[in-house]
Order: sequence, then structure tokens, then C-alpha cells
Amino acid sequence: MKHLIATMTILLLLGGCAQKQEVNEALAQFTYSDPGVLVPSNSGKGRVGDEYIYMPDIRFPIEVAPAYLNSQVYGVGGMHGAAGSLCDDRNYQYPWHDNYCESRAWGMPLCPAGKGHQGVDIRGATCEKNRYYTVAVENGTITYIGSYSVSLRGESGTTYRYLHLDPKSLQVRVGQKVKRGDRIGLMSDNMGNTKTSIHLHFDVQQTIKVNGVSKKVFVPPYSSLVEAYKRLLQGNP
Amino acid sequence: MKRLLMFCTMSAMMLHAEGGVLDVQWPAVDKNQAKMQKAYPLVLKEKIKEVTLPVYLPSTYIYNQKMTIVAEPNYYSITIYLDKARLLVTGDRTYQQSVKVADQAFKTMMKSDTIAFEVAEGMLITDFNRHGVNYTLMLECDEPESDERCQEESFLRRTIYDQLTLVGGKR
Repeated sequence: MKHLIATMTILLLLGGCAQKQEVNEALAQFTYSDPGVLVPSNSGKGRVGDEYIYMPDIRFPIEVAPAYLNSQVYGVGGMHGAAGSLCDDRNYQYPWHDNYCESRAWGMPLCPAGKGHQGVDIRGATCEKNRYYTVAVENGTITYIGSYSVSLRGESGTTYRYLHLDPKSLQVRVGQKVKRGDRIGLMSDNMGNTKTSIHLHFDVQQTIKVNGVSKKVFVPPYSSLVEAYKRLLQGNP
Repeated sequence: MKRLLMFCTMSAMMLHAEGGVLDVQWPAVDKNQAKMQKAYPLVLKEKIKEVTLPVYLPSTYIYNQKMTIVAEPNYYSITIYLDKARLLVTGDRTYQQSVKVADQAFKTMMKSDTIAFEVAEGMLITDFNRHGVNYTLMLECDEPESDERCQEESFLRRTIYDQLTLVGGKR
């Protein structure tokens, strides 16, 4: 009996060590550029220096790691990217690159150019459609479901939008209360009747009060997502 | 050097994750509106009765029976189902961040009082502040690239924004 307990203890300790080593390796492999540093450099003018965590303690919006936050439009196979397949390995590797202020036609007051992307694009571990679940980043309520977007209003009052999910895979309905980590739907290439690349467009709206005046804006999510992703890699999402 | 300067500017803007509830500057009571409210669909009357900010809806769609409402004391969102499109109207009395010393981007953002109707990610969207609280109108089309309602601002501006009517709210 004593031998059995000793053996079990050793096995548990070894298991724990192996798990810890895996976590350390995953964290060591994860690299990311600074907030606001856009790659390629001609993809826009980023909000460099804003390392403020707008959404502390959010859960990473994709259920499992790895995930790759980088440009769709300027990535390999993208509209303005290098020639190649959207599924090119170069799109599925670290480091992460912020794309919140990536060039777009619409206004984004917090971006140096006054225009930007609203949110960031994130790819799953592999270039497979309808394989990776997106999840609630905060406890809250599903307030809207469109043909390719879902809105979650967190208890903090922050609104999170998940775009390009597969509509048939949705696990939520309008008005439903969700808990942080609950499944929302599968990452896909859905954009109504047009298709986009397989990715999650994730953006965040908050109301900011400046000297007594308030405005609802799309805030930079990159730094918050880096922190959330580290927690996911640590097994403590 | 440029990055260092930028970093210093950002640090100086002093964002604070202190949320709260905004004060509402209620409009004067319109007796005709109060009478009209009696005819509103039950779903609308019931759901918004505890909302503590002015509730707006475009007049064309007030009597639409097919709407989904999510309401809390400081927030509401109403989805109206159109032909091959959805219109989302939200009102929000909360804030999540406050800035004590604003950087240039925040100052410019706050100064702007023009309402922009923009196509972003295939959706038409506008945000505006009225009575001290914030509203969003968003239109999402099933065929975002070919549906004019999601390409040109005229539908969202003229049929929705210009026709917004106060339908309720608890003073």
C-alpha cells in the first residue's frame, strides 16, 4: 500500500512537472510585437505606445491555443498581401502583430491617421473552417445576432463583437445570459453572401468620459488580448 | 525618440478604468407622445419600462411586432428585422473609462459634433450622444456588398436617424 502511494505521488509530481514544462514552452514560443506596431509597415499607422489594458481579465475569445493575431488584408493571400494561399504557414505563426489601426476607409478617432480597422483579426490554430469555437470573454448578455456578427454586452458595460462566425454553429440566442468562457459559435469565413478569410474579427466598444463629455468608441484591444492569451497558455484562462 | 515621445504622451493621458452612470438631461415631456405610447406593441411597452434613459426608435418601426429587445436599467438594444437586413438601435447610459488629461486623439474625438455614417466591415454604423447618453445605430445586410442600404448612408440617415422618436424611458 505504501509503495502504491509513493508511486502515485511520484507519478503525479512528474505529471505536474511535465505540464509546467509544457506551459513554459508555450509561453516561451509566444512572441508579439508592441501595440500599434503594424506589419507590414505600409499597412497603416498604429497607435504606438498605448499599452493600457482597456479590458482587464477578459477571457481570450478563442477557446483553444494556439491562435494568431495578424493581418488578413496584408497577410499572405490577402487583398494587399504577398501572393500565396490564405492558408500559407506564414499566416499561422508568431509573432502577433496589432492591426487595430490598419488602413481602412472608415473613421477611427483613436488611430493616428483618423481611420482604422475598429478591431483586430485573429486566426485559429490551423486554416480550418468551422473547427475552433469562439467564447464569451466576460459574463454578460447576447444583445444582437446578425447574419455574420454577434454582440455580447459584458457586465462591465463593454460591448464585444464577434464577426464571421458560422451561423449554424451558434450556441447562443439574443437575450441569453452567458458566462465567461461559454461557447458562442465557430470561427468561419462568413460575411453574408460574400466570403472572407477564415478568421475572427473581434472588436470592443466602450464609452469614454473626457472632462464630463462621453463618447462610445472602438478601443484598442491588442494589449488586453496579449494578457488574456498568456493566461490561456498558462492554463488559467 | 519619436516612440519615446509618443509613449510619454500616452502615459500622460491617464486613462482610468472607473466606470459609472452618466447623467441624463431629460427632454421636456411631450403630452402627445405620452398618448401615443398607449398604442405601442406590448413587447416594447413592457421591456423598456425600467430603462432609465430616453428610449428612441425610428417612427416607421415603432409598431413593428417583430422586434427583439434586451433591456437593463442603464441600457437597451432593440433589433428590428427588415427584409434581408437587421437594424440595431442601442442606448447606453454607462461609461467604462474616464480620461483626466486627454491626449490629442481624445480631444479631437470629443470636439467633433458631426454625426458620421460609415460603412465598416460591411455594416453601416453611427454613434451619437443625445441628452448626455450614447446611442448606436447599426445596419447589417445579408448581402453587404450589393445592398444599397448598407453601402450608402441615405437609408440609415433619412429613414432611421432622422425619424428617431422618443418612445419611453423612466425619468
